[in-house]
Amino acid sequence: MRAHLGLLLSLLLGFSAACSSSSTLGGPELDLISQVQNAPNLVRHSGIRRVESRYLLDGSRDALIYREEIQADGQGNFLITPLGAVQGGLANPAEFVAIQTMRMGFNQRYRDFLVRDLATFLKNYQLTSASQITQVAGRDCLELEVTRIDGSAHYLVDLDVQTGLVLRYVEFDSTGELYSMMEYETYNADPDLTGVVFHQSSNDEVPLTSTTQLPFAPLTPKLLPDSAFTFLEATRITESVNGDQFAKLTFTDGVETVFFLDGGPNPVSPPASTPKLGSGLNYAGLSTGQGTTLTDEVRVFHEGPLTVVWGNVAGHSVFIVGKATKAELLDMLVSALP
Amino acid sequence: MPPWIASLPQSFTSTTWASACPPQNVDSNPQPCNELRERYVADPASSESFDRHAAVCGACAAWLERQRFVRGILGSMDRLVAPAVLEGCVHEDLQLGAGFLIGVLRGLERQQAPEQLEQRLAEALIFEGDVADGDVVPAWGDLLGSLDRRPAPKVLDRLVDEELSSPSASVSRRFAGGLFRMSPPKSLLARVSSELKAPGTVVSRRRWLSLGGVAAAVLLALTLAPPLRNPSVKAPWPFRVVEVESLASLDPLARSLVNGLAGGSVQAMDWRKESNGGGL
Repeated sequence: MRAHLGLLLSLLLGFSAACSSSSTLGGPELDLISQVQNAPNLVRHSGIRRVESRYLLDGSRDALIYREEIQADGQGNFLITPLGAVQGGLANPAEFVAIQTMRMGFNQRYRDFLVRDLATFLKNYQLTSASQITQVAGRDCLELEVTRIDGSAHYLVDLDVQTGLVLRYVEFDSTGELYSMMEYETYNADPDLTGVVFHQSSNDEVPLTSTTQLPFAPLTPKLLPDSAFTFLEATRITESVNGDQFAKLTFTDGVETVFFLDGGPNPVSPPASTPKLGSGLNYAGLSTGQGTTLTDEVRVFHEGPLTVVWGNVAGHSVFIVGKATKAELLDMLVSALP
Repeated sequence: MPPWIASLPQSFTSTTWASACPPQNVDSNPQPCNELRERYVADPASSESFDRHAAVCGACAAWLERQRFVRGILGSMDRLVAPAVLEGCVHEDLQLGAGFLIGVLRGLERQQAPEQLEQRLAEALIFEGDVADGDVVPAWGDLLGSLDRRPAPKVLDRLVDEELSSPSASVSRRFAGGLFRMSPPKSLLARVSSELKAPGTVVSRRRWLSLGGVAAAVLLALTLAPPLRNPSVKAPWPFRVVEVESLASLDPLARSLVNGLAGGSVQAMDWRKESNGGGL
């Protein structure tokens, strides 16, 4: 363990230096970062996690708090079992569990703090530490303060010294208030996974390697938010209900992600007044109510640091979401227009 | 020994030259071979002594043959004369600085790439292998010309326009935005709090009025300033943008993505509103 701790500390020093010059990073540090990057998939373990997500409603702060059990076999397979809401959930606990189960894949891939692209992460984030060992679920962790260079994001992250797994993270909003957090309450490094039925992806999402995989030419942004984001992956999602397809482009600043979804050409007729699952990306809210459909209009919604943009532009149904400003997402959309 | 050879690192001068002349073919010391070769390179006209040496040294005989071959190739090539204006411009550049030379270079006739290069590029980029006899190899320049011309994104127009209309503001914004944002020290917050709580800092009514007047003036200036500064300011985006307070009109699939990124808080807001009798 001492060796791991030494590596983590040298990683920390490497990171601090990386703020001025990434060339100072050495092999062991980069190896360990790779370990942190891939730990959720490569570390066999199980544990109970507490997840908290705060929001502001009608001027008062509230929170959704729930527990879940994670089981991972260290070979990319995992199962997240919702254990119910502690605060802010639905009146019907079974319904809450069902919704959380449906989101299992997304939560594993995108919800929690993770270094998604090392080079971009080193470019955009600064790391500091009090160089002290903390305890999370009985495990020794190194606590790091991770701050985006422009100050727009701030995290406190506890990395397991032995495995590099993130055992706790706290995300703060721009006012310094807690926005979200995840913490392991228990941790088992040698779980019995006999009989565990691991997560199976329910949506048809495949890598998008050629635009011929889609029935339309997808819009592709050429300007990314604040130049801090970089391309991460392109996939094609086929909806299971009616077979509609859309392109999903994912960009990252190293930690956070921005999704750019293009559902292709919108139907000429106005969309239905009530959206239904599997209706593609036809946004019912664009109906004016007078039997006409507004074209080239987008709607913008804010929730904490998150901005959501959706609408119908240049004949395409588009949807963009990420922790970026409205101007950044709209510029991104404009840069994608033909 | 010519000065440029003497200036080479010792390992180069001793090993490279010596290896060209195996010891068994000389008097057990390669140094005489090296000296003779250097003398020959410096003045080929006086090659008699080297010819005599090459008659008894196989390695130097081979070296001499290669030298004559290379010299023959170089000598057979057409000698191109630099444009007269180039010499003048180089001179002027050296005297006055850069600029003239670039102009001359741009004015020179553009040379075509050798046919062999086009063929190699075609093999690597188009046919991904050997070019068959029947294949028509397009010129590289033609290939570039045949590509679809893509317009620059419209947002670039606006950004460039902003950059040109106020370069200093753009530069400031760009560099200031890239700086690490430091948090104020806690002691500052404590001092401000204590100052505000202090009884002597109660602001008088008259002062409030003057502060209000200043604020109103600033607001008025901010409202009027953009049109006065640039009457042709256009809407920044080529579509209508509507701020909304709810995700009600969003497709459930997309809404699920938003909820996932927000850790479920958007849906929790929804639930809470529903329980209060409303809905998002």
